[in-house]
Amino acid sequence: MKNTILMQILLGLIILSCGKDNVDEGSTAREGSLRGSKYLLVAGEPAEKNEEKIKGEAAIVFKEALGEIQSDKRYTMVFSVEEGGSIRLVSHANETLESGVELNFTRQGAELSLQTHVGSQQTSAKVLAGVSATKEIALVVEAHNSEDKTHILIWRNDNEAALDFSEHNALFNSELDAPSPGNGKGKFWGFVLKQASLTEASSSDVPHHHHH
Amino acid sequence: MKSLCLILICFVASQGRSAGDASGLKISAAVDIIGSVNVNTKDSARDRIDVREAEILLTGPIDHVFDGLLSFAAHSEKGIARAELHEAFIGSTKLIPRSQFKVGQYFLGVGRLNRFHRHEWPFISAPKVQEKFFGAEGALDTGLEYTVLVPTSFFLAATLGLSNGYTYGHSHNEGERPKVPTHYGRLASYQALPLGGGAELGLNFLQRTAADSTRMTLYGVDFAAKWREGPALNVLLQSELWVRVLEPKATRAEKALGFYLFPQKALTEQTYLGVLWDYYTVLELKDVTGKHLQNNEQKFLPTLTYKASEFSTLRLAYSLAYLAQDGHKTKNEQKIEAQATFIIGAHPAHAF
Repeated sequence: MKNTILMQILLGLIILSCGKDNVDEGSTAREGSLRGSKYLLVAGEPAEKNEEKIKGEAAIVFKEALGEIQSDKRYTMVFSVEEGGSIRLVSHANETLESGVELNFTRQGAELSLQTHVGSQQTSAKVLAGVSATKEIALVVEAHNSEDKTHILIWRNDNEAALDFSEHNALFNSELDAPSPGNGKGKFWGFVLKQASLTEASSSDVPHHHHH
Repeated sequence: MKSLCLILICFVASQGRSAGDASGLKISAAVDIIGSVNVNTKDSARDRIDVREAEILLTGPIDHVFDGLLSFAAHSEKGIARAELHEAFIGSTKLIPRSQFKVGQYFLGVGRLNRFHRHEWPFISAPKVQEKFFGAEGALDTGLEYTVLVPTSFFLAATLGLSNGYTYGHSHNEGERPKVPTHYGRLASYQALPLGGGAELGLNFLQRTAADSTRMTLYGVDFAAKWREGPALNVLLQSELWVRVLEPKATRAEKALGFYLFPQKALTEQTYLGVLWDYYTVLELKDVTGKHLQNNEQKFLPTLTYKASEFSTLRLAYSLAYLAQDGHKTKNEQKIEAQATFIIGAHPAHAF
């Protein structure tokens, strides 16, 4: 009797450990880390995926929560886009990158243009002046989701830029350039890459006193 | 709007009216100047002095039944003074027995801080919960508010309000027609305390469904207790606790909780020492895998106040702020804040 019970316990442990390995293998394949920021792969299979880069066609959502829905966040991103490709920053979305504010950067020739989307609402495309899409691009993006219609601001963040993150110095300001179509309804952020590569991405809070 | 404000100021000045006259019109101006300096970080303070707000207030009887109030305020936004209509309403304490009402634009009658102009607050800046749930200055809207003194053996006042709700909090646009306008209520009671003190307790509710179907509900408790010795406010104890439920369409509801506690004691007839404890947390915050994340923001602000009279205030505060969230290094930000406010003219007094 005792041996039977022991066998059953042992069998149970073996089954559990097999199951655990399967879950781990599956989740490891869908997980990644970009310069220390952990993310999950929501869709697609990137051609390249390591600590320094994610490249190809993929959608990723970062594990950390933004804090709360009505929050103001600043994102730094370094990326490059192939001809005809795009990279979409999704802010304040749910776990599968839906119901968020989407900033779609598309390359055509040497120009990088931006279109913002919230649900079915979208703005017209605007070319970002002074940004060459033929090389790696460094931007700082702010999404003020606490405001009535998310207020979006974008600056260049490369060595040539002034690094003055005030509104009058912004490359793009949704209050002036293209009215924001709405607000994000979630707490997560990520990217959707299409023929693009991302080498740096981080989020932080917008300093309280900035822009007010 | 800026031109209109200037015209109004010139008109009032040209009439040569003093702070009060036979018509009962009272005119006053209030200015709020603040400064902040970083101690251990680069960007938690502005490292400069600003005129945060300048307000002109006109109040008085319209006739034997109605009273009116009109105020304009200029705020420093993005380094530029921006003038706008603050409050403009008609009301009466005489038309309906045991009742008062107002119709127009006003700060919503909920909570404690939201019912007072910012330059009258007992500390320099909005606690996190006030800033997040009502805006840095307070929630303002256009509508109708009614308060009745309930016929009970103890003091009990019930307030109900309904406002447009096209915007909520600070906004620079007209907003959109909401699915359900802003509606709110407050039940308040006053009780005398031993040693000549008194305390007011309020229970609050507010709800609005925005144009994008996001429903916001606020539940709150506000409390203020005071003991006076002559003209000096010997002891003040003030607190508010609020819970907000945000229910967007197609994503999970979010609950957040915040409170502040401000005890203050008079050191002399003109100087006071208080400490503001400010706490805010997002309840049930999870990461993308569903793992629960502990999080909170806390601030402690010892605050020294000097009031030469009811018309001037100087304040100095030291802010220690901690931001903690699982998976993140705890942030520790310290800064020094200072404030100078003054009122010239006849500013109406608040009830308690």
